[in-house]
Amino acid sequence: MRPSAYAAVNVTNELTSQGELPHAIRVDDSTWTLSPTNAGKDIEIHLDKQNQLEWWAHVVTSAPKIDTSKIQPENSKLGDLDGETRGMVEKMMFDQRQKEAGKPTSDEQKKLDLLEKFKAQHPEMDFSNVKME
Amino acid sequence: MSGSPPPEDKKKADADALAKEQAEQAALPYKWDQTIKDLDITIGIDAKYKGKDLDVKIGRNTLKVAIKGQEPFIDVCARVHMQP
Repeated sequence: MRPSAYAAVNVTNELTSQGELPHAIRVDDSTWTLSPTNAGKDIEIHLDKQNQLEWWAHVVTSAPKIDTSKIQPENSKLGDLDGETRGMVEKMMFDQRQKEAGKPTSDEQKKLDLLEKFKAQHPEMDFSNVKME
Repeated sequence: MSGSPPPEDKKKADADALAKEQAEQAALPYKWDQTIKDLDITIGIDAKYKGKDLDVKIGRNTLKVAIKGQEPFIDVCARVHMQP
């Protein structure tokens, strides 16, 4: 019998929070820093998720879970987007607002503008029966 | 009365669940926050500690955060734990 050895193992097990990370992370993109705060220092650990489309319910499998269905992601800012994506998103937002207000979307507006121009250039033609789709 | 509970009961159950969740998370030795892409953990320690006093290991499925010679804040290094 070696009771002292058993006792040592017991203590170790109590001290460590058992379990593992619930999901894999990208080690190369994960970092940690130590920064001074008003109260002392903060160890800040940044983990990049392997699957960037899932919410974690906890950091350690043994820790209590949070309700991930209640998470409300922050709206991403337009300024974070690159030029092309931003233009597209702004156009979609504009069209959505126009639609809700019962006004023509940007594409429809373009067609209307073209028709007006064409009308102006051809006063001899009759446009009274023209319907816009 | 049967079927789904009235809205005020549902609201109270949600509030209770949220309070319980917040209490559980506040009891952890670390704070954490996430976006859909990444996750940040913050652990407040005494100002006297420096980087070299810390033992931080980040692995694919493992994480250890400790002040050397002290009980770790997080230690999920071993997949298999010794049983007494």
